[in-house]
Amino acid sequence: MNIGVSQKLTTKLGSHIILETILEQGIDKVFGYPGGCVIPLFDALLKYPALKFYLVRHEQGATHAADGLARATGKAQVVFATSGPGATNCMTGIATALMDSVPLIVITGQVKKSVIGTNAFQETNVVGLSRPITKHNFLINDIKELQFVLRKAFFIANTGRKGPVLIDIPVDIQTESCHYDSNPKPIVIRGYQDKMVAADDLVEKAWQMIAKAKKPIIYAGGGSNSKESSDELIKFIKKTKLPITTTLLAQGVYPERDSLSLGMLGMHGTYGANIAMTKCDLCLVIGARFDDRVTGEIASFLKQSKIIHVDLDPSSINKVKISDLNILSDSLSFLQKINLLARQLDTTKWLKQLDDIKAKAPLKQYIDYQPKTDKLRPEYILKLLSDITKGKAFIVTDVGQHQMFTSLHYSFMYPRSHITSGGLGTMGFSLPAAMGIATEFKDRVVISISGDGGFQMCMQELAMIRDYSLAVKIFIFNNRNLGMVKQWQDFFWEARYASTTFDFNPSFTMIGKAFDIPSYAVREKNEVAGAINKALNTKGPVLVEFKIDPDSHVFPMVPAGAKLSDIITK
Amino acid sequence: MMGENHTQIISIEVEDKPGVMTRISALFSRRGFNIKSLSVGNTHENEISRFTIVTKGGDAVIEQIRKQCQKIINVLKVHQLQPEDCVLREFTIIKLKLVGTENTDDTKDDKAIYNTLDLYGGRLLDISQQMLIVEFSGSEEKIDNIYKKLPPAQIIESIRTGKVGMLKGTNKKIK
Repeated sequence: MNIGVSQKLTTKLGSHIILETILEQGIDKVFGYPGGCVIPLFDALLKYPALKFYLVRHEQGATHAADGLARATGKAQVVFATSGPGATNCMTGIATALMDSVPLIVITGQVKKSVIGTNAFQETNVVGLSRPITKHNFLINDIKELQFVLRKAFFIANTGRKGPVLIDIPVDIQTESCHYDSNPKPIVIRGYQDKMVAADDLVEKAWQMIAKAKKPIIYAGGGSNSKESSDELIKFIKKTKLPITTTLLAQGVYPERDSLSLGMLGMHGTYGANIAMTKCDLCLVIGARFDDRVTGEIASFLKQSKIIHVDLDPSSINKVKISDLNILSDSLSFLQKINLLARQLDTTKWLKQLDDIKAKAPLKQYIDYQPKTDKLRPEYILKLLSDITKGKAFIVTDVGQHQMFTSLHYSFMYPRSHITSGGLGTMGFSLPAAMGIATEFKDRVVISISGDGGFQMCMQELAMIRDYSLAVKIFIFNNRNLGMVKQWQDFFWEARYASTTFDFNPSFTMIGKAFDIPSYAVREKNEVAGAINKALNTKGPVLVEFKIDPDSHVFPMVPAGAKLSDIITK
Repeated sequence: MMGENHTQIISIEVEDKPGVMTRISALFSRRGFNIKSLSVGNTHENEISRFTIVTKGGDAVIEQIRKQCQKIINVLKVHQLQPEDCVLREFTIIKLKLVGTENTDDTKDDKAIYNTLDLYGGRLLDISQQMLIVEFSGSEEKIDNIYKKLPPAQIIESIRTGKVGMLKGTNKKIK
């Protein structure tokens, strides 16, 4: 073999190796922002038209855009940013992704190797900063490592409990050359478990417990939110007739319009779901982590019930709640295995009891309220939006009251259709995340819903939305205050609105128009349906501002740290 | 779920990569745990090091830290060492001043030093300018006793390693 020739053929620049390894992963788009330490990388992009680059207007927007798309597809997406401020601007987005187990690859430029640690221009310790908010991170010291580290990074981000991985690449590595191997070997990382498959005997034990239970219930979390798991879950529920409640991050994993769906549980969960959790005698927890926003007071949570906990992260097991049976497994393989054992169960009596509970406190949707005399209610807008889109749209929410109103009043029918920052609760997430999704899903409706507060945190991305004509339908629920914090102040702080009301707000429709995006405002109930339909029927992006009742409160509500049974319904 | 705080010994095998120490120590500091002793060194395997960490904490929290340690990509294996199942050793070196002179016999205190060296199997590493450097190894208790036996006024400098430990009698290897 003529080694000399084959080496010559496959020697590549560092910047090209980065792009080759990204393409190798089946990725065809990158979000980012240029800068001094990534000039070689961006220059190389010009030679790789297969990799479509989306220029955001702030690096935080790039991380949320990639995060949104990763949530929609289940696959790690890629961000490019420069050193120093470019990298620090990514941190909020990276932390958001970690908290919700979203796979992300963030590639940051770094100052050249010889000046690292000298406070060079635009230098910051990016691996140090991002260490606690990534699943793993790397600093490349040697170009020979580059291709292997990149492949490893994708493998780590996409397997096990998914998460963000950052790779910090000094600018001089990008311009060095190295032998490039286009036939990668399978990746093995010692001590790392990329798969968790339920043990047969444990699945059998779980089934026996479920079959014996009189009041069983499923509590499904983000770990179960994929098309494949959802199919298996629907099959399982069809057979067993178990009722199901989900967390915020698993909405739509089971169609919410079905009578066996109790909707979301937790602080702003439905009355039915929360009371069911206090009455059940067996709870099958799939891919959920007993978050404090779900459990309320932990000592009383599921106190009366047996618990089966299925999770692929050993550190989630017995973390806040000791379970009766723990199964280390991803949701899909557990559900596939239990579906082989599952048979018809008689839950009629239990379902009847749940129907009675649900009937006690139905959601108030303001269908028949009087226009003109009453202010515009967010519940009503969302109910209409749910009916008009038939639960098929990507609903990308921000953080706050509108997010909880959406989870209560929009009926999610498909997995991965509610895209939202659950764990970190990042305001400003919705607009860039929605635009990330719209780069790929051209034939599905993508709706960004924000409050007036969150919208103002990343509204510079309207420029990218216009730039690439991304068909994001931007709905702003303007109540002229930070509604969720204000709600807490109303309930627990004697209505002292410390910095939660905006004395000044810009005109959102004028902002939309400044970005050349069709924009209009809605004030009356009878305009809502028309406004929604107009937005959906307009090609490209549209901005709709709903001027809503500034004093709306989200109900139901379980006060922080209270028992689920202490739920307030009005 | 906290349980009673008691001494916990954790042994961690890691890939020898930069930043591993920070990743591990961050898990302890985040839970407000003080690391009482920590020793790190290479193993017989190429590019694999072993940490032995002694800390105080409740079982449930230690269990969490152990699991989270295992999640660090550079960590290969985490064991919790129970004193009854393993061999634990500490090592110390001590600089001691002799007070006896050529004209007089060794004083009582110098004798105490030599006796302690004999009794606890210490080794003499250096004698210069009336200063001895000695080494001892053994269990924590034994090292504690050595310090009690030595005349405090004559100890000039001392250093103790943390514990290093190994599980007895298994041949489980990490893949």
